[in-house]
Amino acid sequence: MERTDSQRRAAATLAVLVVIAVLAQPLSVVARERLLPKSGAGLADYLWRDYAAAPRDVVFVGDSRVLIGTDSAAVEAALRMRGLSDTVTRLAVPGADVTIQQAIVYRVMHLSKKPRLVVLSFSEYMYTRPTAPDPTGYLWQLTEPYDLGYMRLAYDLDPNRGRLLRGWIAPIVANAPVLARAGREQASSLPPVRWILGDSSAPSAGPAELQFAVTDAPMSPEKEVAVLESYRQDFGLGSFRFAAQRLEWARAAVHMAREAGVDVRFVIYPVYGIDRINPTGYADYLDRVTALARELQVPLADLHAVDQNRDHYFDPSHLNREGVLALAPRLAEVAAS
Amino acid sequence: MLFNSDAYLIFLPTVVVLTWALPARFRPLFLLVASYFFYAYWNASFLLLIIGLTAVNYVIGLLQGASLPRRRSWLLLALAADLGALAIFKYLGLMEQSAVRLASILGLPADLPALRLVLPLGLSFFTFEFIHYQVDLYRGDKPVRDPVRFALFPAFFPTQIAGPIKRYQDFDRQVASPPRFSAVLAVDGLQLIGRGLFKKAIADTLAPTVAVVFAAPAGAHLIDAWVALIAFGLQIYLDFSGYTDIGRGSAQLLGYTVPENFRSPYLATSARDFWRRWHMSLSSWLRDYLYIPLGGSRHGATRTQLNLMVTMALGGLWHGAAWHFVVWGAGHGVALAVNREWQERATRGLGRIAIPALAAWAAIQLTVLLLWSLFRVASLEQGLTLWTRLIAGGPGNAFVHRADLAWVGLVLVGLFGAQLLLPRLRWNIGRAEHVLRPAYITALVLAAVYLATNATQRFIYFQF
Repeated sequence: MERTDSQRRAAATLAVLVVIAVLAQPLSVVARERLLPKSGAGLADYLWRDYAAAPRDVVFVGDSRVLIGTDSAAVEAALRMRGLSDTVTRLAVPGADVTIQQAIVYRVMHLSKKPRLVVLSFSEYMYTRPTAPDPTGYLWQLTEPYDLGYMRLAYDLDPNRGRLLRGWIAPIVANAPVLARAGREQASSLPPVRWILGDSSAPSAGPAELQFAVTDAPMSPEKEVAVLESYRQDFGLGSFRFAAQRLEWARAAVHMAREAGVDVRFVIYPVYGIDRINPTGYADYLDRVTALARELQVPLADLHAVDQNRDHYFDPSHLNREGVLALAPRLAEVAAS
Repeated sequence: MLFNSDAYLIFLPTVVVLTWALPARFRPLFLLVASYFFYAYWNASFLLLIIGLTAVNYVIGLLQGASLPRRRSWLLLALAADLGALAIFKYLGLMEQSAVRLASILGLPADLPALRLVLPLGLSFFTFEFIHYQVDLYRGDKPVRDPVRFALFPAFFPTQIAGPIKRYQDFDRQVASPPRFSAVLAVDGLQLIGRGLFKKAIADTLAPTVAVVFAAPAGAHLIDAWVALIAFGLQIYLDFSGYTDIGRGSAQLLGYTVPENFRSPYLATSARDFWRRWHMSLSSWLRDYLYIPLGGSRHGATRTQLNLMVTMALGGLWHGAAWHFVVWGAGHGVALAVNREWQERATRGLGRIAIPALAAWAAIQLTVLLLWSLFRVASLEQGLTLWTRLIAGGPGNAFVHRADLAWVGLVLVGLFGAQLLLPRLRWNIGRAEHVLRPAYITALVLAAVYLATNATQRFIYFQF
């Protein structure tokens, strides 16, 4: 049967659309890479690329407490006071759970230049049973450069494997919302940190690209109440039950680092009042983490109550600039130990 | 699986490619498996319900075809099975609540266990398709003998969850003679999908403006109430027609055409006109399987108007197991009855008053808008509160920000602009089609991605 003119035109149109759909995959990766430095979207991706380009000697791995609470320049300065010239950074993302830590450690250990020390941070909510890890986004962001071993690990770690696979098969699926968010942030001139803590246009220490969330603002009573309530309800601290099986991920991360010849430390970052939401549960958490440190023979620096100066906090879970600078010598002590 | 989810973005191309790669005789079976996977992705256990109802209707359909004298009994049995499933999953809770309320009004003790059944997705839609099938067999049509072809009729994933409500004669004809790939149909389908995604993204941007007022209408002032109501009118149209566009587009990529469901309903100039443009597959179903069996217009003016109101009230109840849906439907029934009476008088030359088209449009659209409030509220009491705010205003908290107001206005102008102007433009892109149409479709998708909110909303009609 002879094809009509309209069929031929439709076939050409369809071919163009297929080409666009195929090209959209790599183009979305390129676009994301260009937009990342200008946006808070794709934080794990950004930090990982930044680290891979210039690996450091000491890496703090953890969540937003580590991201905000670790001023690399201040820790390096404190180390210099001790006669050490180590470079320091943090690979940390808000809400990270232990699976993300393991994934980050894997990536760091598979670079040609290894760090001298990895400091794994613990937060109580990572081990609260009512909360389930949802690491897909971060696991996906850590994918490049492609590494089959990493992809296998991420697939094993992710409880939402289908979502992770979709992100790998069609990168535009995962890139599109990141690009849209970056576009919206640029269009509305939002500072990139807006989505992490809600407000901060204050300058911070470190390279401009890494000025994520350190703020000078003190903790308001409303913020204190709201964040503590969120930890009680959303993070399940009110009904804390220790998720012991998650310790396996921490064990695996330690073994991974040691196999690569890298030393490991554990640290618990300061909090204000979170430990008093459910004192019994928190004590149980501390006991279990201490036991793990003893079992693995990893020194644990429990700093959760080291700073109870209210003026050093932005909210009960995060330090402000003053608190971050006050913490730096303690972190240097951990790094130097 | 949501049409606007990343899972569907992988699922659809995979199914399309595999469908066309397979020999034609295997395609219906493959589409059936894919459709069941689509359903099970939400809740695998409810797949048993759809398969069970399909089996029951298939067997009863064959029995209807084989046994002329007992046809009526078989029809009643099928209706009992289909409506029984709907009653259990959708209406038992309402019946229980109503019984408890009635008992408390009468001062009787009522201590019934609270029923919390999950409504299986799409149940209302495929139940209506089964009823249409059984009634048409009773009226003399031939049953579908091939079980795969029959099972694909309700399960077909592009229309499975929220319609359009198909007619089996049209659909089975397409399944029986497998379609050849048509680039024209596929490109039109992709354009429909792009348009649907764009509509859905805009609908989602309106959701917060609607939600903030409808969550606490007592605190709304006059402007809040009207803006939220107009925003909801836009949201439900863009959401549901967007869903339908994606469904129809998906079907076209597989070589099938399914009925249109919307034809610019907000341009309607009468109640009748509105229902010929809004959820067309439902209104034609209600006409054929409820209004006409009730007597239609065959028993005088009063009975006709009663039939209209009963049909629409039941149509309202189909939308949701709550009294505010019934009142919403009955309200449309009254509007249709008034419309009919007006036309009758005009036909008989009795007291005809010429109404300018613009005034007729304004009257019906205002009616539709006011009735939408009863569709969106959680209870009749809340609906009454909102109506008082719409009429008399209230203390006012100014829930709706100026930017939201401007956005609702922009969407409103954009929608009417598009519906009034686009059909008048004569597209003559000829040789440039392979450049301009992909650009248009890509722009729609990019705009949808850009507008997509973090909290993507479920399609409103999923709950029915």
